[in-house]
Amino acid sequence: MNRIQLGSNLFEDCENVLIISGTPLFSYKVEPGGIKLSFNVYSPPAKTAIQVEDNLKKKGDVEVEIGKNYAVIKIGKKKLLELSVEGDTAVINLDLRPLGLHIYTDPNALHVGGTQLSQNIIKQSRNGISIG
Amino acid sequence: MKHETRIEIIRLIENATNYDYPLRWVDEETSLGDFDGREVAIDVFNITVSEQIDFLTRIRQVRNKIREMIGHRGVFIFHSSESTRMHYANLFPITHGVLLEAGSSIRIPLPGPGGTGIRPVLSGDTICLKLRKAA
Repeated sequence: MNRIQLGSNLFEDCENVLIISGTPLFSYKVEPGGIKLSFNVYSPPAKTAIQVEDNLKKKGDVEVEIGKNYAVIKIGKKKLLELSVEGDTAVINLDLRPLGLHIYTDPNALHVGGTQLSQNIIKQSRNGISIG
Repeated sequence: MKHETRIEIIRLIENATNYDYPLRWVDEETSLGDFDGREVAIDVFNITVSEQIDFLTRIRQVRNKIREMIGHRGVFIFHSSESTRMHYANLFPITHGVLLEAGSSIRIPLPGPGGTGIRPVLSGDTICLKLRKAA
């Protein structure tokens, strides 16, 4: 089973956890050498496009930091996405405000504009949350 | 004031404050009372008293531009998290404790300038809601 926790919401066996304007925002693979993280957001809706594929920066002024069980994508000093994996569960912190999008998580909820999503469970869905 | 001008002003403030606070132009339906500058007033939500000075400091660089654009000093109405919850819950919907299975999902419109006033839509065949007894 593949489980992802995003702002207290739990996604089980979902192909895409979060889609923004039709594009899956992130995906990851756990390999013996570490995590392989991909991240993709277009402009618009973001102020600048960011594309990271298997830890390699393709577009955008971002840095990717990778460890055995964690991965971070930063723009300047700000973390856009932070992922840590323990067992079959990945915990993701997200903050797309530096890209001009009202989308971020805190320990209690996923915030999309003024909307809050907390402690929801989405199982076996192709797309968990679709924005735009 | 033109709609485009209103959007541009919200964008200027959002950029200056890193999108930290939901904003909106004061709405005649939900903001009661009359005051000088009502037509150029912006609601700033979920902001503590101690953050208000910091907010004004952060937008200092764009305040003159805003004044030029609207021909008036901008007016900001600050709402703490408590008063936001109490008086403006309609702008900040919460989806909590829902179980969606087998192809179900949540759709949310892309937040516009200010980020307020959007609602998620739950779709699919299997949606379970936790029902709570009203107090």
